[in-house]
Formats: sequence, structure tokens, C-alpha cells
Amino acid sequence: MGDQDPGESSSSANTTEVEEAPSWTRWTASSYAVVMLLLGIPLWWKTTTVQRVPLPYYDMLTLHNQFQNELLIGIPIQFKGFSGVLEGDGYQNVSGYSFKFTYSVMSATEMDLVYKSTDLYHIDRQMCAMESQTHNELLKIYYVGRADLLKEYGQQVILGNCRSIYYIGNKSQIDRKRIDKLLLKLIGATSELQVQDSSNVKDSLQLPLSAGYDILLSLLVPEPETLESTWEIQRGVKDYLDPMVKKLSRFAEFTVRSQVLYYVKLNVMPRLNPRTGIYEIPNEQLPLVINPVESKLSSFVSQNPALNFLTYTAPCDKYPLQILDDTGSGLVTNAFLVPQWGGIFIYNAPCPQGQKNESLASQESEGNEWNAKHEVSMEQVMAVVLNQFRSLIGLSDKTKEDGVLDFRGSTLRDWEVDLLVRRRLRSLLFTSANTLQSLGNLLDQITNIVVTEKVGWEVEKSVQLLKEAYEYASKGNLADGQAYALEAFKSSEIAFHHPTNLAQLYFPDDQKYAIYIPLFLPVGIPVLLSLRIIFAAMKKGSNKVKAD
Amino acid sequence: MKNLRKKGSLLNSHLHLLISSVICIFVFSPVVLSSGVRSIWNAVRILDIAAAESNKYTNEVADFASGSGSNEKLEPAPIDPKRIWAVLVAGSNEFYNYRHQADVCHAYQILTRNGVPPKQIITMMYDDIAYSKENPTPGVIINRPNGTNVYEGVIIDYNGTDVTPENFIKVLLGDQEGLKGVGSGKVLQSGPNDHVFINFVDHGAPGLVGFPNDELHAKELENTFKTMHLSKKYGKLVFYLEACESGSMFTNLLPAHWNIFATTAANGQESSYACYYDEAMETYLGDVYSIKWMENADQSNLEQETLQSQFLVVRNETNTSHVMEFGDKSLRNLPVADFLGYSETRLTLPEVELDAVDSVDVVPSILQRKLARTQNKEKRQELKSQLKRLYKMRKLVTAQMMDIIEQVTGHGQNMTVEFQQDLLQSRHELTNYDCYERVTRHFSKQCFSIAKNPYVTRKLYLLVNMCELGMDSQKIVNAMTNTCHHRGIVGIY
Repeated sequence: MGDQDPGESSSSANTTEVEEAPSWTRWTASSYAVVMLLLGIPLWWKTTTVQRVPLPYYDMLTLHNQFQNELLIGIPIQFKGFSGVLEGDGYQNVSGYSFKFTYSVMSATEMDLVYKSTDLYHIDRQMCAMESQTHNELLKIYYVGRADLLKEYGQQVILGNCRSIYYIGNKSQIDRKRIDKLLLKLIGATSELQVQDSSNVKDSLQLPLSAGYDILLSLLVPEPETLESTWEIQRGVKDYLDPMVKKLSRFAEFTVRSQVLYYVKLNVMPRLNPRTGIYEIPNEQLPLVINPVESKLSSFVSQNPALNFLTYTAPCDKYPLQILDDTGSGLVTNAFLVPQWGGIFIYNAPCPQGQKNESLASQESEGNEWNAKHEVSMEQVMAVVLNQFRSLIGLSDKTKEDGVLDFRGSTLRDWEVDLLVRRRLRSLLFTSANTLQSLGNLLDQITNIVVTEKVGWEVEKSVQLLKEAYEYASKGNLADGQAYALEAFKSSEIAFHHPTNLAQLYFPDDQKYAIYIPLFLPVGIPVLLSLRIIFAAMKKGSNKVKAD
Repeated sequence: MKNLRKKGSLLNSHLHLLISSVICIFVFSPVVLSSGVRSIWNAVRILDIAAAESNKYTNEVADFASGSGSNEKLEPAPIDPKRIWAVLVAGSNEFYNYRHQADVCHAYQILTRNGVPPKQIITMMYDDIAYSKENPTPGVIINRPNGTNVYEGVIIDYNGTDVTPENFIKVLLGDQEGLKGVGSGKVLQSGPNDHVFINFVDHGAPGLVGFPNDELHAKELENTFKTMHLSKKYGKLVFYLEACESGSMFTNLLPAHWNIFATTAANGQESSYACYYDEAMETYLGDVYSIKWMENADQSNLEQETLQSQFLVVRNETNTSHVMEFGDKSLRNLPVADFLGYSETRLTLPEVELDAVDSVDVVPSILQRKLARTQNKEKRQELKSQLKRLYKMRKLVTAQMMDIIEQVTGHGQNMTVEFQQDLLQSRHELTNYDCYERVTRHFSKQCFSIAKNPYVTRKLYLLVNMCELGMDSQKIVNAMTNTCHHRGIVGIY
């Protein structure tokens, strides 16, 4: 058939008398063509196009910039003095924060508190009690004109443990410089230049952004056979850490865990200082210390970043162990900090006498007798942990500071927590806006990123929440601002990291054609050409009719 | 997690392939088996005959093979003017800036004459010159000496204080919601196949262009275009920008895949020029670049004139500044009619002396010319004092800027002579947009409003230099806060 057919048809074409093909071939050919054109190609087109739902691109691209230029987190401050209105309301912008001042008169109870108490601590405690009753989150500056306090403290502004600030002086007007200094302290900066810059060194002391954090307290006992250290961690956490974590609950959720690890040694090569008989760890060794320990630390699964606090009891053959600072003298705290990771404290537990130079063999033979127990002092450990914790969350580690009242009982001041929340709110806003901006830029540059409805919805949500959070932040409503910003942050992360975005990333346009053209062309051409013949035949058919 | 994701996407792409190949086999295999062989043979036969017999046939076959592309080449058919949308903006006010609004009105005339529907032309201009008391012919605006009235029939959608960068961006983004109750509320409603033409005329500075009360920064414009591109607001877009240092608005900011072609009156470091001083109006009637492209559009056949040839004409005739082109250069080969429409009417315009002047010298030169013509003693006195104030204010701007620089650099300590020269004399290209935008915004707020004091734009290159030489933006901002204590000074021309 193959050989004969073409010969016949070509001769018939020349003689214009077209040999009629059976009509069913024409119909089948055209039906295939119809299926291919109407069903096949649209279906192919549909399955290979990049799906993209409309997104609020302009907001995505510009929110970050807008925050950079316009974001001012509001901090309302109330002056409390005696007579009438002292001054008109005002505001002052300090690098990203906007302080809004109002003036009011002290109430009778407040007046009583300020003028009848014995000392500032007493006043402050009463104020704190009053504040916790009224749930008033406003910062208040009280004018304290008491001569006895003036004598004791001199003319200055003192920050309390809650949200009260005391101005001790003989003029009801506080001078500008003091106010400026106070404002900088309230936003946790030492100079105005420092705050704005995001690439700041201080930033490295801040926690990575997350919804919550784990605190892991570990006691490392390298040689339990010679000295078994134990700690009463539950009491320690309850007495020291819990109050702090509770205060920080506005900032983020903290989960506390503890563990005791045996036979884990730090990677240190202490040198014996023959003069003092102390084993010294030079400053240069500190960066290497945590590497071998880290893999053994976390035995639980958590999505949150962890803060590790290690307490290392010095092994008896290296007792006592001492960390040196960069000048070569011993560190008083005997502890050091690893930003964003945690802190290590070297605890020198008293070793049983006469152990230092014994051989292992003799230890094993008479192990039981020498197995001494030691109870680690919780006070000592917790003092270090709390101090390190403060530094890790980005507060000044100085417990005693100029112009700030000492803590009595609590380890975090309310205005410090506010400061942390504000800082976190800021970085939440910036990070999520930045994520959205990057997504927008990626979508522009890489054309085959898919945007599904789910992602579109998350982006939309994130943009809306960011705007809300921005509103709240500029009003100074920290709780709502942070809640919205956190949701926006989560949504933006989901949108950016959603797996469907990449569905067609490994299937670029040129590949699309490279695969489909060899596939479609050999089958497509015959179909189209047969169509052509059908049309030609139909034309001829109708011509014939006309001619007749 | 990572693995899983990768697997998912691979699976997906495989799925596509699978589905398509299944379709292929199912749909096409019977065709191939039954009629395929036969039809291939028939096709070959037909082609043979066609080649041998008739020319008409070959033509058809060629058409068939190469698609519609060749069709266009044979018979260039510009797109229907009804698919063109246009946004025309004059960003200035006051009679000194007569020329900006005159240019925009002129552009409006060209578009409507060429069949672009008026409801697809969005016009933003302050509209204070046509009936200004300084205008000797109220209700008439001309764009060349003894020219026709270009104000006639112009529908202005946003005037007065509605002419803001925010509204301009909203118009471009098609944000109908955001413009409810503002002006006419008209926005771009173009789709993915439409052509958009934008013409903006005003004062400019490195990285920004002015509006009556505010400024539009290069990054904002970039983000707007990015958004328009991503949300498919246009098929192709042409932007003609007349402003000083207008090149800086697009340098490195207009990637080719956006299908945007832009030409600007000047490069990123120089002024643009005004022209056509009119004795009767006592002001300049046009800007060199705008006049050149519009007179070209008035006089030539826009179906044959391509964007490229228009650009070359304008570039060659504008000898006062460097006309630049940016963006997708493949658009250059399209006829101008694709963006400005087309009509048979062509104007013939008599040669007029251009009389170009640097836009920084516009106001002094207007005052000088007035002074030369006036005999009235009182008037002369007034003009003289105006000139005096002008120069005094200019000096103030320069002095304040130098104060700021001195503060930032610590009063020139530890500065080599070369560095000082680099800082004060050279004109760096703007790349650090974040620093510059922050600093200029603060300057505009704290020191002199850039939009309301056109002369300030001439000094902003110093801020560019400071940012480009790596000075900290916070430091500059602080210096401005310390230096500028006067507020609300306006009208430094």
C-alpha cells in the first residue's frame, strides 16, 4: 500500500481530477485536528503556564522603605508635677522613636506616696504596687522636690523599677540635656548615632527573631567517678529564673529545661600557673570551647532557638580552673558569653584532697571510696545565669547603673521589658517587610516562580497586618503592635518559604520548548498538513459545484 | 525539609511532562497511524506542485510558515489609538514655570489630534497659569512664539494640590479606591496588551523630580514600574521625562525585561534647558527637549517615524544638554504612532529662534529682561529688589549647605585637598539611594522644601557626593537638624 498509493495520488493531482479519499478519513483526520487544537493545546498551555495570583506588589516593594523613612514607635510619657498645666503637650523624635509628652497634676495619693515615704526605694515599691493595680502602662516622670532626697542623690533623674521615673530637683523644669539622656536610656542607647544603624555591634547581642525561645541549663560533670556534682535546679529555677521569665512573657515565650551531662569535657588546654597554682584558660582558647560539647547538648526537639547556659565543674586534675581576659588577668566572674548561643560558667567545685595526682588505675580499684559528692551552689550559678541572660536579650549587664534604682527583688525593670518589646517589634516589622520586598524582587526577576492562592493569601495577610502593626506601633500600643507584627512575620516567612513557589523553578521556559517541540512537532505537522489538504479539497469541491 | 521540597517540585514538573506526553500519545497516535503517513506524503506533493506552478501559492506557503510576523513587516499597521493610554504631568506651578504646563498641554493636543480617546489621557497639572493675572491673554497658553492655543480643550484630571507624587503613583497603579473623591478619580486602566505613554515635565535633581509641594524619588518610581510590570498593567510603556538631571531617574533602574523605553532631557549630572522667551508673556514658553520631540511629532509621519529616529532627531537638535535613552532598546524600532497615535494632519511650523537658557537661569533672566524693558521707576526698583533677594536667598542656600558639610566632616579636619575637591566639585553618580533619599527627605522637611525652592535642586549634588563618599546618613541628618532653624522659606528660584 505504501508504495502504490503515492504514485497514484500524484498522477491524479496532475490531472486535476482529484481522486476522492474516502470521506471517513477526512472526518477522522479533522476530528483529530479539532481535538488537538481545541483540547490538546489549551490543556498543554494551561498545565505549563506559571500560575500567579495578583499580589499587592506596591506595598510589598515599598513597605520596607516606608518603615525606614517613617517608622516612629510612639512612647507616651507623662510629666507629673504640682500646679495646673505646666507646659503644652509636645513630642520629640529620637532616631526611630517618638516621645509624646503630656503634663498632668499629681493625684493626692501619689502626692502622699512621694512626700510621706522614708526613701526612694519605698516610694518606688508603692508606685509599682499602684501601677500593677491600675494596669497603667504609661511612663511617668514624677517631680520630687524633697530636700532630704536632694541631699542624698543630688539633682538628677532616677529611673525606677517599674514605669516610674523620679526627677529630684529644686526646679520644676527639667533641663534639656537631662531629658535627652533619659530618652536615650529609655530606648537602650548610649548615643543617638548608635540606634538607627541596623548593622550595629550591639545587634549581635540580640536574640535571633523567633516566636519563642528555649532556655537550656546544663551541668557538665566531666569526672563523676572522682567528684559527683549535683544541683538543686528546680529550686533554683523557681526562685531565680521564673520571676524573670514571667516578666518577659510580654516579650516572648521562654521554656526552661535542665540537664546534667556526665563525662563531657570542654575542649580546653589550661596551663598551670606555677606561681599561683591555678590552671588558666587563655582568652584565645575560648572560641573553641563549645564545639565538641554542642552536639551533646540538645537532646530534645524544638523549633525555637535555644539559649544554653553551661555550668562546667572543673575536673579535679585541673583544679582550680580560671578564665583569663585578653589582658591576661583572671576574670572575676569566671564565665563568658557566646552571642545568640548562650553562656558558659566555670564552677570550681572543691575536690577531695589528695586526688590531684592519683593515677586512673588506683582510682578504679578504690573508686567507691573516693566518689565524693558536691552540691553546686545555686546562688552562685544563678547569679551568673541571670546576668548572662540579661546580656543575651540585649540589656545592659550592669546591675548598678548611674541614674537607675537598684533592683530589689526583681531582676528586670518594667521599662526594660518595654524597651525589649519595642526593639523586637521594630525588628519584626523590618524583617517581615524585608522578606516581602525580597519576594517581590524575586517574582520580578525569576518569571517561573509560582504564586498559589495560599501564598497570595499569606502575602495579603502579611501586608495588612504590617500596616496595622505600624499603626499600633506609632501610637505606642506595644502589646497589639507586637501581636500583629508577629503574625505578619509568620505569614511573610510562610509566603517566602512556601514549597509551591518552587514547583516550576527547575522547569524554565527554554526547557519547556526543548522538551515539547521534539515531542509535538513530529505529530503536529502531519495533523496540520492533513487539515490543509482537507481545506484544499473542500475548496475544490465547492469550486466544482460553482463551475457546474 | 529541603529535600522534600525539591522532590515536590521535581515531581510536579515530571507530572506536567507526563500529562502532556500522555495527551500527545492519546490524541495524536491514531492520527499518525491512520492518516498521518498519507497526509505527510500529500503535503510533500502539494509543496512540490506549489513550487512549480504558481507564485501566489508560494507566498501563501511562506506566510503560513512564518506566521503573522512577516505580515507586519510588509504592511506596518500601528496599534489602534484606542489601545493607547497616556499620563501627562506638569509638576510645577507659578508663572515663572509657564513652560512646564505649556509643554503638557501641547502633548495633550498631539495625543487627542492623533485619535487617543480623551478618557484615556490622564492629566495632572496645577492649572494656575492660564488664568494667572500675569497672563496677558487669559485662558490662552502657547508653547511657541505666536503659536496656537494649546490650552483649548484640555481636560485636567488632577489640579492644584491634588498634583502629588502619591496621586501620580496611584494613577499609574490604577488605584481607583485610593483616588476616590480626588480630582476626576481617573486612573490608568490599561491591560497587558495596551500601550502606555507617560510624559513628565518639571524641575529635577539627582534621583528625584519635583511636584508642586513634594518630590518623587527614583526608587519610588522604580518600585511603581516594577509593580506595574508584575501586575501586567501595560504591554509596552514609553516615558518621556523633562527635568534637570533627569538621567539619574533611570540610570541602572530600568531593566530591559520591563518593556519600558525612556528618554530624558538630560543626563544625571546636568541641567535641562528652557527656550522661547516671549516678550509679551514675559516668560519662557517651552523646554528644549520637550519642544523638540513635540515639534517632531507635529511635523512628521508618525507611522514611519520610529522611537529611535525621533530620539535621534531630538538628541541632535538638543545641543544644550545630553538627551539620554534607557530601558528596553528593542522598543526603539516601533513607530511613534504606537504610543502617540496617528493622524493625517501635519503641521508646518515656521523656524523660530530657540533662545535656550539653563533652567537655573530662567528666573534671573526673566527679571533681567523685564528690567531692561521697564521705564517705570517704581517698577524698576521693585524688580531690582526682587533680583537682589533672589541672589541673597541663593547665597543662603549655599551657605547652609556648606555649614552642613562642615559639620559632617568635622570642619574639614583630616581632609586632604583632593578629598575636599572631590566632595565639593565633582558630581558623583547616585548609587546609594537609601542614604540619599533619607537625607534629601530630611533636608526638604528641616531646611528648604525642595519642591518649593527650585534653586535648592542645584545644590543637591553635594548631598549625593556626601552619600557616595560614604558619610553616615544619620550624621548628615543630625547636622541638618543642628544647622537649619528657619522653616517655611519658599520661593528661592
